[in-house]
Amino acid sequence: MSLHTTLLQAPEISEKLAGRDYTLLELFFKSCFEVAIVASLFAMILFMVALLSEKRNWTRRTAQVLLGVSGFAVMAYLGWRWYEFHVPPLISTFEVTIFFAGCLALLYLTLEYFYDMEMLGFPFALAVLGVLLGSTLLERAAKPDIMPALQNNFWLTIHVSICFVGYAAFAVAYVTSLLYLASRGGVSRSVSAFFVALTFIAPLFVIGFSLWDGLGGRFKALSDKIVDFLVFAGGDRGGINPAAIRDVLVLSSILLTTYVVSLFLLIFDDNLGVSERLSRVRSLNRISYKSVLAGFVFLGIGIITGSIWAEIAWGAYWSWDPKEVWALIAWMVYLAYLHLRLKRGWNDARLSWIIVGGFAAVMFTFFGVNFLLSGLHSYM
Amino acid sequence: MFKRIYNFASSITLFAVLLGALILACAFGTIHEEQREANEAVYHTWWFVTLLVLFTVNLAACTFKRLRVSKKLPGFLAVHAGVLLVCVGGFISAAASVSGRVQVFEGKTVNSFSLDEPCEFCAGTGFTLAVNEATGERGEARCPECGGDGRKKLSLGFELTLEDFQIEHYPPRLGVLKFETNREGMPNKMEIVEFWRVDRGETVESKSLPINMEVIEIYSGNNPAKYRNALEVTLSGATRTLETRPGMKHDLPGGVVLKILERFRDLKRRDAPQAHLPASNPALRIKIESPAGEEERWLFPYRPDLESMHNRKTIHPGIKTEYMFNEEIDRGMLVKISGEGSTRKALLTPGRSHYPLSGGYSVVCYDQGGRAGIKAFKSHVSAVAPDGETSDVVIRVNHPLVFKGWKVYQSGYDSRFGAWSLLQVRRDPGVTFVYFGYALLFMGLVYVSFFYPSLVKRRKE
Repeated sequence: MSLHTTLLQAPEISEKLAGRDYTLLELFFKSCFEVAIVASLFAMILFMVALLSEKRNWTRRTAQVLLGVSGFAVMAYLGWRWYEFHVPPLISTFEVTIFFAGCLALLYLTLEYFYDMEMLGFPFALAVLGVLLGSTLLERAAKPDIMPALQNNFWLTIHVSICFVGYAAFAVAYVTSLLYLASRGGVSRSVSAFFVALTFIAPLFVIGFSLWDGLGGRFKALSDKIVDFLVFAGGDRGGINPAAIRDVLVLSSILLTTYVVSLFLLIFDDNLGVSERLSRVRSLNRISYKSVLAGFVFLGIGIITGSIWAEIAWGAYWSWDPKEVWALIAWMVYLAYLHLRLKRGWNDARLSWIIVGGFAAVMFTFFGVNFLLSGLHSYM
Repeated sequence: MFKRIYNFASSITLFAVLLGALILACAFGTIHEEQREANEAVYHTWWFVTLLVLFTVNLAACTFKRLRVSKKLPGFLAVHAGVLLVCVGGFISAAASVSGRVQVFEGKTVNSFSLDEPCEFCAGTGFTLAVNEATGERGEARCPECGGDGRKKLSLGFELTLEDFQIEHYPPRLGVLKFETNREGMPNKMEIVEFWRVDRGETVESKSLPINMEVIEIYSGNNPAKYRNALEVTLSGATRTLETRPGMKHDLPGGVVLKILERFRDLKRRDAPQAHLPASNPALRIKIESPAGEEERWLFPYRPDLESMHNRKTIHPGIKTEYMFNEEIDRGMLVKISGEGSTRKALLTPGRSHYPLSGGYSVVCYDQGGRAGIKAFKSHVSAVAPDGETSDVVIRVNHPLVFKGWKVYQSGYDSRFGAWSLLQVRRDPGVTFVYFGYALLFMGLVYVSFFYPSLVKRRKE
């Protein structure tokens, strides 16, 4: 590398460095992201204490307040980014990820108002914390120089925020559906433990491999060795595609880790009896249904606004871009759920599996399309 | 018989099967890397369209069959009719929309555009056989129908003139670069340790070095620098900027003549010019002739030490010369760097030049290269219809021109010279249906979720 490569690569230089001094208030808002992480961590701990102890009331209340603080802190931090960079803070993957976490926390508070969420605080706090921690692996630098197509603050703000409120509602439905499945015991319990673990481990692995140089580099070196070994053992260089082997390795390591973690979850559950206590919570399915309905409405409006914006910016309201298509797929899966509910023979367990599948489509729309597929939305 | 067909067409089972098939087909489409491939493999195929038609028919039948007068009806009807209208609008778009592109040069007028289909006259080749009437020779000639681009042409029905085309870049940043070398003197680490998003006239102070920098001018496409590699001469209180092509002669007041003798992009590598590398030591040799005598000066914009070493004896102390090296006139900034015992002006160009300071630091100006650094591209167009209606607007991304049933979008541009603009032209009668469908769907969804809470009640087992 020489000087000119650096000069020419200047666009790659991250702008993490602050170019100016901040006032105390600005520093406060700037650190709200860390506040959110700490608050959700303590909320999770207190929810856990509340699950285990007899005197639940004040710990639960405090935990709820802390989770609320976490949600509002995320929004305050995003507000600060808007003020600082003069661009709506819904552009980079990091920004939308933490917006998602904030929505999840605030949605939990809303649901708490309507339903008895006694057992559900802990998984929600865990989810918020998990998403926030996962987002720290993402590139935090702002991208104030946004491309011409995105320079439409009105549609950008409306389209992205509505979509992500929808995603958060689907996440709620996913969590409650898994809990419902777990409460049924037997095979459903172990499979839902597997999905709970997968929810956390898959994004961490994907983000870690693709963005974190240390882990990604080490993994690449290891997989190179394995590929070399396989090629050597196979003796035929033509037949093996190193990229495919690497994908298989990533996938299998994700599945293996998930399996191990889910075994631990089951052991915990045996000792704590969480799933047994869950079977006494009556509102799980109702929360699932309401969340799906809310998510369905929001994602539907999100797709509509996106389509109108596309017509304004790209000249076509629908261009079968992978992100569009996957959002539509997720919407159609929930559409199937809403209609199959009305049909005989579809019990709550089967419907819960549809919700789990729908959320997989949502996650693929959110992460998978950005990291794995190319298209008009690939700037994220 | 009819009843059986109707029952089948309006069944939820058929709906679920079709939905499942659509989901699988859509997912299959996204594994194709190119959008065109995906369209050819799935979205524009007869079977996918058939699937969509069947879905629409099923949806219509289901909706019709389940119409009941109740409080649910408005929401139910709006949602289902909305989706139906969107589907119908989609079919209309697919069948009747017209879309194409037109390349317009600045100052030129067009009245037709190229469709995304091949020209029928020359079968998409752009050439036809022609006979030269003077010589009787047969040869290839540009197709008179499409003008050589092989695309079918369609008249706009009005005249579109590109009055002006502009590309706007994001302003470059000013930064301090730390440059470390290893024991062999090879560079091994570089990073921007400080940066500023600056405006004209702003002064910033560095934290890593005892210097401050005043931004005198920022150059962009709208405000380019006057010259590449300018020479600033201060003589009896007045400063002027001169061009520095070797061999040039500038007459200055007081009988002073300034001659440009030699100019080096990089004095160190003068025998092997490497245009792709940033110049580390540009230089200029000038000659000053006046009634007081003749004098030669070496000017080193990046090396004040070399300059004072070479020009120790001057017979023209009143004439101050400053050579400002830059290679691009469209992007960059003119910065006054004060500190480390001198005050110098530096013309910095993104990615091309840097101003070296002590301790491996240098001042650089950088921006997001290529497309990423582009803030906007704007086509100022005027449209004139035969009936006298006119429109004079600036088209840019997110701001199309709507005129006489056509929509004209900013699509591409000449990235090298900014001389032409590529516009997308579109007429789509399906949009009205789709948007009306969206409106119905939106209202229905809101009605269902907020104004009809009993729908949310636990379903009957």
